[in-house]
Amino acid sequence: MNKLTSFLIFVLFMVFLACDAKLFETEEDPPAPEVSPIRTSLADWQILAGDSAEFWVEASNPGSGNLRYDWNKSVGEFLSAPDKDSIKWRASFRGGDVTIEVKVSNDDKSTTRNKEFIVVSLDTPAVNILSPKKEAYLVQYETIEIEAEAFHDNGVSYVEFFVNDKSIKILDGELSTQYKIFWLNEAPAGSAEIKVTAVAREAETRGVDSISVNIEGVIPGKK
Amino acid sequence: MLRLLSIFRYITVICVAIVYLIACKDIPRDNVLDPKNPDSYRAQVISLEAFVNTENSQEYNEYMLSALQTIVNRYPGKFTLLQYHRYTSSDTDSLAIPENESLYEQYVNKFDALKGVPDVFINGSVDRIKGASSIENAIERVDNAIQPLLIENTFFTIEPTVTRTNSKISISTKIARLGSESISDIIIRATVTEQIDSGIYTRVVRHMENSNLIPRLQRGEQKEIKYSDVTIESGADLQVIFTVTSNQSLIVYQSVEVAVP
Repeated sequence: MNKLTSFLIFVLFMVFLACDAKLFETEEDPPAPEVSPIRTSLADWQILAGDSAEFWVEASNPGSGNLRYDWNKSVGEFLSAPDKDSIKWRASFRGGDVTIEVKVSNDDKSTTRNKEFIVVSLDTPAVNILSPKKEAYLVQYETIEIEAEAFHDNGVSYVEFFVNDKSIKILDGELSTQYKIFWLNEAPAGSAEIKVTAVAREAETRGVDSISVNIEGVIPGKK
Repeated sequence: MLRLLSIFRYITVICVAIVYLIACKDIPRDNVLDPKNPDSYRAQVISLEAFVNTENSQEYNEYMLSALQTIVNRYPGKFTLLQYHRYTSSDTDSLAIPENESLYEQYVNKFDALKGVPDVFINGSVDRIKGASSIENAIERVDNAIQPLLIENTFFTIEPTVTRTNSKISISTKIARLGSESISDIIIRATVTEQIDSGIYTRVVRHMENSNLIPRLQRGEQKEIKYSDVTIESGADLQVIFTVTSNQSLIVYQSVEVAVP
């Protein structure tokens, strides 16, 4: 009797559980759109300032509903509607880094792809000699501080200092725009030219500033 | 009656003395040349000291000396000029004397700088102009440097006495501290110069005498300084230039030139 009772209780319990089907259901995650990386008409992910390019993605939808596209950019402007699988975009007229992003959505989820690349400016770097001042008097055999600022949208590759067209120092480009050297003035007495050039990254255009100074002659020593 | 007259005279003398004393007390010391006047001063005479070598292959030193002479002529009475000739690492100079190098050492150490001529010190260590590339550039540099000094006053007065007996020159001076403040650690230098020509060798240093260190000169105080006699055989046209110099900072506060008779 006891065995029978136990069996019946077990059967009833299983029937009860079977009635609540949800307990045995595993909830499936709705699938997000499958999206390729952003592709482009650009040869090597570089574009000249002001030029235009096309970008696209290939997407499929394992989920429900239609695919929707939403393109965004950090700079420049879109030349076509940003809700298609491809987009036409024009770069700004300044160089620098740019990010293009697309968000592809179905009814339930979305997938985002982005790509960072470079807008190359063909402008020459801006160069300005800060010291010495134009027509300054520089004493022979003394150490002279030469300071310049140089800037380019794509960054500066290197800065070169000249006295009377002779290169005296090359500095690597830095994030900073200020470049300073100390130069032992062994130029001949009289008028002299100090020149600073800066070469842009990517386009390698060269900017120049120069000033005229006076080298004041000295008979050195004795110690 | 006589006694009364005597008393009257006595009282009169006392009254006159009192009036005299009161009157004396009321005289204001407002003469700017009076050392006891706390507002006394003199126009500053700017000292130009040029360390040069004129026996080398370049003309930088000649440019500077010519420029300094132009400046001195441009502002009559505003400058004293001293030319200290010295050796360089490669050149001698027949006008050099050992005292020049000693003074140059002091200046160079003060500026923590390299030696090299021409090297001009304006009012001692107040300003320095080194090197030259042309007369015009040197004039411009010196003129720019002296502009703020041209309107300066000084709180010293120097009254020199210079006599000459054959080749012996006797030099003494009185110095007074003007204004309202005392000063410490000063030296009064007497420098004998020679005008060799009317071109650039106008104030070539021949001899230098320093006073003892004056530890303190109170405001309104006067001091008399007697230097050792100087014997200079040549030198038809000699001058003595007196400078009041800080022993610490090497600033020249005042300078005066007097011709040797």
